[in-house]
Amino acid sequence: MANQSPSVSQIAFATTETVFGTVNNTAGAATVLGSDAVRIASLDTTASQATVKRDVKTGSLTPIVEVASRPSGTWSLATELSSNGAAGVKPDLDDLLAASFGKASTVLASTSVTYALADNLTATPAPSLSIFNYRDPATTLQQISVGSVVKTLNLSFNENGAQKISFSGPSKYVLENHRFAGEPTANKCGLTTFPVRPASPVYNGAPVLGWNGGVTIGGNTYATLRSGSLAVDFNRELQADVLGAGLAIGVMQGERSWPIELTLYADDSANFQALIAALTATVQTVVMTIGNVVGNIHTFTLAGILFDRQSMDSSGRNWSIKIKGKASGTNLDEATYVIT
Amino acid sequence: MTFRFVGSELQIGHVALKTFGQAIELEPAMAQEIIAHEHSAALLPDELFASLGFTADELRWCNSETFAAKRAQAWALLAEQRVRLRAGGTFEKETE
Repeated sequence: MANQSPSVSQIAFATTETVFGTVNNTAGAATVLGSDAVRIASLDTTASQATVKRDVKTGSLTPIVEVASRPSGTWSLATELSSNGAAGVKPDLDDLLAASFGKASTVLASTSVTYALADNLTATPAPSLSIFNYRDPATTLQQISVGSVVKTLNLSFNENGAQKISFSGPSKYVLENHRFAGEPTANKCGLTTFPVRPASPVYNGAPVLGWNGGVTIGGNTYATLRSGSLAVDFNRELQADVLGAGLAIGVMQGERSWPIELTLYADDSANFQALIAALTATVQTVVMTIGNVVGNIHTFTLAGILFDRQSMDSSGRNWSIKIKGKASGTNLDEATYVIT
Repeated sequence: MTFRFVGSELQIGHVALKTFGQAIELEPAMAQEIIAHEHSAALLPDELFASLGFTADELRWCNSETFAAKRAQAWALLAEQRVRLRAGGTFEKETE
């Protein structure tokens, strides 16, 4: 009898590619370790290759068989926001975060890990990932999303429970074990065999809890933040429209977008009045801190935000306001993320 | 080889560590791989951990200033250990 696969039985690994669209490998064997594991809430790696209708007349009303279009892929991964657990050590999400910000993180040993932006407009391309999507049993469908770039990063924070972070984007190709043998060499993305899942995935760090956090806006501290969200669009797409290449050949980028939305209780404090007065009038820096345990404190700094006028929110017992804005800057200075 | 956990949460295969100071037995090769990795597992060799002198109370509550100071020392040792392992060093040098 054939084995089916429970949907909870899914293990993900992510590695930063040395060459775009090539799985890091040694003589065709993928380089993927147990410590490359990423704990996931969900992971979708979708092979995209539609069939397209042919525009010819056959002399019959019977449709002629369609032909395959150029293959590509998409991916999305959601998980809990967490650190390594020891200060100054890269988190399991490091590859995804570095691929988001555009360059490797900076580590200050036993103290901090910092993510800052890079445009990668010249020699160094935007980082890409190989995302390994394994299911049990090993004989069922396994996938690797190769040449995966981060287009969107979404972070939501609220007062309750573990905080969620998610990533998504396009990928050059989604390799599958069941199709591997028949793939042309170019589609094997550097591999000669489909890799077996590392035996012991290693997960580091506990999730950060939302009620241990705070926000400063324009230098003032607000202790009444209820929730918020960050929905970054890194505006990356793959260059998959050239003749002579069956798969995407690289990454193209446009201007980033850093929309943030915050919900705070309304009150009559001087700080709150200052906040309302500053909306649409004064550019402000928002510093969001989540967590209060050393080694698992996450600080997002978004600069140059000119907030829209607020909307009122009566969904709770007391009035709140929602404010929306976008980070801006002059050169790579609109956002940083530091884990301490 | 015995290691002691100095992080917040660690899972290796089906073994989960959630308590600071918790002991785990690992093959040196496996330990080398997961501690030398970029996402280093927060594990110190038992003797090195013992040299930090955590008291039973400090490990029970994990919230005193003396605990925090010793934990910072543990993380500094962890960083040194990782650098040494990535350079091809061994755990044995650690405890000489």
